[in-house]
Amino acid sequence: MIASILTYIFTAITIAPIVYILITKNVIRAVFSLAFSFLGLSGLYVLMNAEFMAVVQLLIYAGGIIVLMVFGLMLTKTTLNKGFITQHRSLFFGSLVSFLLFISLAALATRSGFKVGFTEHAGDPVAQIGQLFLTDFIIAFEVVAFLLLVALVGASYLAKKSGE
Amino acid sequence: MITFLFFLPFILLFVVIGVYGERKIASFIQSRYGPMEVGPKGILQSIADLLKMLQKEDIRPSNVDKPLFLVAPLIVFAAIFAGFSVLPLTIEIGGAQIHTGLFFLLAIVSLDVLGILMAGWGSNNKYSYYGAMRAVAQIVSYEIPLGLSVLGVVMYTQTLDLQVISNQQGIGSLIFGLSTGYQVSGFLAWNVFQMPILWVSFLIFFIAGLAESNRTPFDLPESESEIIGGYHTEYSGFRWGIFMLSEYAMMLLVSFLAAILFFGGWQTPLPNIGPLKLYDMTTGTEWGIFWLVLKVTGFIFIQMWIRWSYPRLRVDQLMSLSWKYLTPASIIILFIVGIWKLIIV
Repeated sequence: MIASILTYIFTAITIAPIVYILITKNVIRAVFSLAFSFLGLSGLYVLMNAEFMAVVQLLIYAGGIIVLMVFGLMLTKTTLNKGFITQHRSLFFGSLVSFLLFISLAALATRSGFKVGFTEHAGDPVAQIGQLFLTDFIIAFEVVAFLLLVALVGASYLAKKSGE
Repeated sequence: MITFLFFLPFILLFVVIGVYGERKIASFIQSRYGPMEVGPKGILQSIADLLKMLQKEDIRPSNVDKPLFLVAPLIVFAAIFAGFSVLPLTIEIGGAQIHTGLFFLLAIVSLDVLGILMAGWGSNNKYSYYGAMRAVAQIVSYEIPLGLSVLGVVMYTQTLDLQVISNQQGIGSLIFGLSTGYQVSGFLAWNVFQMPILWVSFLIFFIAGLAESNRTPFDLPESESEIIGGYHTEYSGFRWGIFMLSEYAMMLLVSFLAAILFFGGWQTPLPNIGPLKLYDMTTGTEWGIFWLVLKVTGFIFIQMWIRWSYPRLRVDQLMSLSWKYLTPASIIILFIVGIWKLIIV
């Protein structure tokens, strides 16, 4: 009972900021409301017993990506008074494309056989995830690690170039 | 529930005492009296200041981005306060029972950056803007050595649950990570004594923690002499008070974390010596809270002592300290702990 009420609350927290992003013309407010949406999503993960996933969601999306986006906005525009105001352009085609995307995603999601529900886990999820990373998913893990290393080296190279 | 019942009043009480303590310690270090007028030895000074602050007008400048400006202090405080929810207080009162306790804490506390950015952007003031940029650059950079130094402890204890980490530092037979056959307890069972390399880890953690809570020598985001007050320049009255409250709450959180991760949490420092069962005598619910608060107060004192002893770092020094010294050092520590763990297991 409480779980389903909480599910509705967190779904509302996830969706309402997205709707606001569609309506608003102020980019920086849109970015901050996206952060609230990520918080709601992380609440939904907790309700589905995906505790680790929820924390990762908080750390990477709400903590990392949003800060990156805000920094990008702040460094591109130097006049503070106006804020970032955009326009609503090509409303028709935009809505059409997103509607089609929504239809196809919804069709995929209903046919994929994902189970919607709350599965209980036994034991320490962190330990299980760690063991799976180093056994069944070792290749994916190593590829991601390599990709991150490349990104890190590239970033420091770029920083060095611009410093000279 | 324990978060609201214990930690919220505790933070409020701590801020009142902490501000007074900070001013008294500062004046002691600088050979002056400090607050002396209100109450004996000025002990009621911060209560008087608090009353004055609550009565002040909540000024909202007309050119601010209103929603961002108004909500920013609440986000900063909520993010930091959420971190308190996983802290274990005693052996019975363990905080929120989640497996990813420590990871959750670090993740949720990092969200205060969002509030700071909101304040800096929403204030529509260049000093606030630079303050917010500095604060975020500093907090994001120092999160890396902080996380890596914590990871050393996690690797040694093999859990993210802060209550389990506290429990492991009670009675055991491990010294330097090796089984001795003797039963050790008290301070000898703390993580820094079980695994002495964690002293270095603790040092890195403490420095990074100072930077995370914007304390001197890392107070560039709010350095009055350069950028007035940083991201809270435009705030007044109660909203400014919330920023101050979050800064002290962050100090408190870092100290709690240091005590739990490295110095035994609520465990007593007194060991059992032969028939003299000092450890058993000083363990219990009340004793647990007493020891934890004592350790935390000690760390707070060290933070204040550092604040009035060291000058502020320059921006480039700040970045090179984080990226060129603390991060490599913490990676090396992590490596050593990992190898050591592999050898002894």
